[in-house]
Amino acid sequence: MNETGRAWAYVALFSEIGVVLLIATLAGIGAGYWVDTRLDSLPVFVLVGFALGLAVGARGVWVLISRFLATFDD
Amino acid sequence: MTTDDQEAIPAQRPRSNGRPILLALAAVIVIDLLAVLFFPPFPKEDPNAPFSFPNDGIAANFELPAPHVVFGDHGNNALIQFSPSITSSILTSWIIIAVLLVLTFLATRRRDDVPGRVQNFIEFIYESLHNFATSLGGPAAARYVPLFAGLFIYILASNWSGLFPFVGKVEALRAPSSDVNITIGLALVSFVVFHVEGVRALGLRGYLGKFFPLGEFRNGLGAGAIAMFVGLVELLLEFVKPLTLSMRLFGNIFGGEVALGVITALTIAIIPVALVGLEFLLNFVQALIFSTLTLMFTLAAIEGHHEEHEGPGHEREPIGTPMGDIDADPSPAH
Repeated sequence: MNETGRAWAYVALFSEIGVVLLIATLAGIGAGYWVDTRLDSLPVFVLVGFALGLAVGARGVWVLISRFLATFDD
Repeated sequence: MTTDDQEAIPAQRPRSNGRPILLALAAVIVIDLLAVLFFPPFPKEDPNAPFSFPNDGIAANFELPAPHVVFGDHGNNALIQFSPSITSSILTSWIIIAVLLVLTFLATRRRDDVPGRVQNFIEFIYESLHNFATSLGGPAAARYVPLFAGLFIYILASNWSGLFPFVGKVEALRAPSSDVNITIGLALVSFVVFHVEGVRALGLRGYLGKFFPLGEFRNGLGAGAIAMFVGLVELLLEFVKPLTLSMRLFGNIFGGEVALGVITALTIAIIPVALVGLEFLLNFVQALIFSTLTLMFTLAAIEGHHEEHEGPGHEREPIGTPMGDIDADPSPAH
């Protein structure tokens, strides 16, 4: 890949890393809070949603780094 | 004077002292001051009330996230609702689509082997995007270049439309990408493309096998349980992708427009002009990010479970492309 293309690809991927971690964690907390309000079980599912959202976000970051950033170095 | 003497004297170049730029800035400031004198600002809510600086200036530039309804039902205040209506962002989106279609049609209706200036420009844009996409994703990306290029050009035009001074100020017009409904719609299109292409390339069973790897139970209950958990996380990640795509685009464009409006209300001219330049670049970057990520996620969806673990360098052959002639030789035809 030429240098300009590589730079833009890095911009796209690095911007995704922070956002995917944030959105996944917030979505997990939001979904957990929604379940908790239905079951009147606060904060059990908020914590479960937080942990699951964090796991999803971390997995997303891992996939981005291991798969895409490595591809750019070819 | 000999040739040596001529070489010894440095070439006299007309020095640019930046005077035209300073004059242009001074003219903009004068026009701004005259506008304030002859058309004084007024509070948005009550035009007859006295203008309070800077509060009214800031408040006037806060757009509500919900777009203005141009035609149809205004709906209610519920967060999620169905009300058939044409909003300002949809109307602006249609205008942008129409302009892009007409421009492309006019530029390409008389294609020639020796391209003219306009055809050359269009070919340059498309081939640049083609080369960028294939250098990013290899031969497999060639099939998705039309999608990548279409998304990029539409989002770029949508983002830049917000930089026109009247867009966002006239109620019937609003930059489409500053409306979360439009960005969610775009992200849902991308989401459908990821999964349809994944199923098409791997088959329904092969594609679902990425998220429900039941075969791992052959390696033991523990390995199977771990694989199922990772598959579940992967499945949830698929639903996070459209969220990140839509929220990033909406947040950046909406925030940029509000910041530009507020800074313009608080200062005279120089800072807003610089900020417009910055927004121009950031809007380009956001369009590129959205389309690049759509391309990368689609390429990830068509990878088999085993290919993901083989690492980089394992490139899939092109599956076939509707733009076959371009794939054969992407070199520019200038």
